[in-house]
Amino acid sequence: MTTLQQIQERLSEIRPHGTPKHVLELGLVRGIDLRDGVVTIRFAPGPLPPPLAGALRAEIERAVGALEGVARVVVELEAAPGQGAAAPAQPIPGVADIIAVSSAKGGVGKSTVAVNLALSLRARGRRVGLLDADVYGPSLPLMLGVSGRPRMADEKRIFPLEKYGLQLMSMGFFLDDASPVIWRGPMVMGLVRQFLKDVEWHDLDILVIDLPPGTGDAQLTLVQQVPLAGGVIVTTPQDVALLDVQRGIAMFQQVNTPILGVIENMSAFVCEKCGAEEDLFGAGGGKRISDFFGVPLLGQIPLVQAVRQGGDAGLPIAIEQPQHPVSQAFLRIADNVLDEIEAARAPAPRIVG
Amino acid sequence: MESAARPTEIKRIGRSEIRILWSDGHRSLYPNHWLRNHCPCALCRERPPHLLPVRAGDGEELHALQIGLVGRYAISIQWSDGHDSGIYSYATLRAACPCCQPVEPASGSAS
Repeated sequence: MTTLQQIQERLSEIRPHGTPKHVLELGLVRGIDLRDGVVTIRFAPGPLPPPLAGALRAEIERAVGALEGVARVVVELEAAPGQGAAAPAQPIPGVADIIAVSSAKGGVGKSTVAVNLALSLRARGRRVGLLDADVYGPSLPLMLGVSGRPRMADEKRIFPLEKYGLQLMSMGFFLDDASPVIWRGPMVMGLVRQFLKDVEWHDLDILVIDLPPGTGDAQLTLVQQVPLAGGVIVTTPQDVALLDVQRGIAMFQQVNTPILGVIENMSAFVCEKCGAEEDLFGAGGGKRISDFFGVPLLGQIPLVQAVRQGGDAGLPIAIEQPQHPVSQAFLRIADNVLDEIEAARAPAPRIVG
Repeated sequence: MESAARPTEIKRIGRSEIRILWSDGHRSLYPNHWLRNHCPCALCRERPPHLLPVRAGDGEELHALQIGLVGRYAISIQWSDGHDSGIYSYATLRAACPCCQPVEPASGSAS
């Protein structure tokens, strides 16, 4: 006679694509029913991509069906909730407002912006945390010159590192060397979920999340895991990048997250020798996109060598040269972000008459 | 941190004005013609100045058919002359509040 326990044991051997957790731990099985040799399993693939969900389902059928005394396995697909409404977004303890910094593609300077924005918010007197959720290429350790393992407690709670007055968490803190990280979708989600749940942030006004570049499943999952005060989109001025930004905007809109605005990075090249400005990528892209989509342009950051050097040396420009025009631009962006967070809280005006 | 005042209510007053009540208690009245002639859209801004004033000769006064919210920072106005591509940000509107200007620019000349 098959027992529920046997079924659970079988299920606990099924792990999606090398994730450390099995389907029960991942909450993918919502219920098991056993009656007259017929096993009914309610399977909730949630945000998993359909091919993976299908493979898992087949695996569950096979594994449970192989148990002695099981005549039939019925896997009921729990209707995937609308993308906007998967698991209800849980606030993060110890964090007041969460903002996500995104870019539709890599290479636009998203992490540089996230780091300097976090520091500028800090300079404005806010208690700020920075979560480097870019698991593919965590750059926070290098940019801020931090290393070392975060302290853990109960094998579950992770304590953030600190530097320049920021509370910091990055996948980079757990990697040993520069070996490339190859993550599969579900692993990314699991990891990020853990980062969101298990990090002991201490009394933060604002948590800045540096999202992985792109607008795919991982990013979508992330932005619906926690209630975001808003999303920030980083772009460069050229037209192709603008097309990408549309996807970023669509992503935030899909999950009903206010878009705080667009930051145009590398807006112009400033020659260190003569101070001349050149629009390497064309001009005014960020302005155009903010006009077109009705989202605010939070600011423009020129392409200046000092920004890159500061980032590579672990001394972000906002720290190293607070009077630099770029640092001043970041401060203005921080002010705009704070205004927009406030505005996002305010109810929309009534239109009458 | 000083936070910018935000509109709490936007109302069409008759057919000639739009009124905005602000979160700091201020109250602004914008004549329709002033708003239309200062339409911030690229089409209007790049039009030669002598073509700018809207036609108001159809026997009907220029008025707003509809006001819509744009994101959380601006409104758009659908005018009775068919134009609707201007996005009026709250910040711009507040800065341009007629009663806060040192000298009211002659607004009657447009009509």
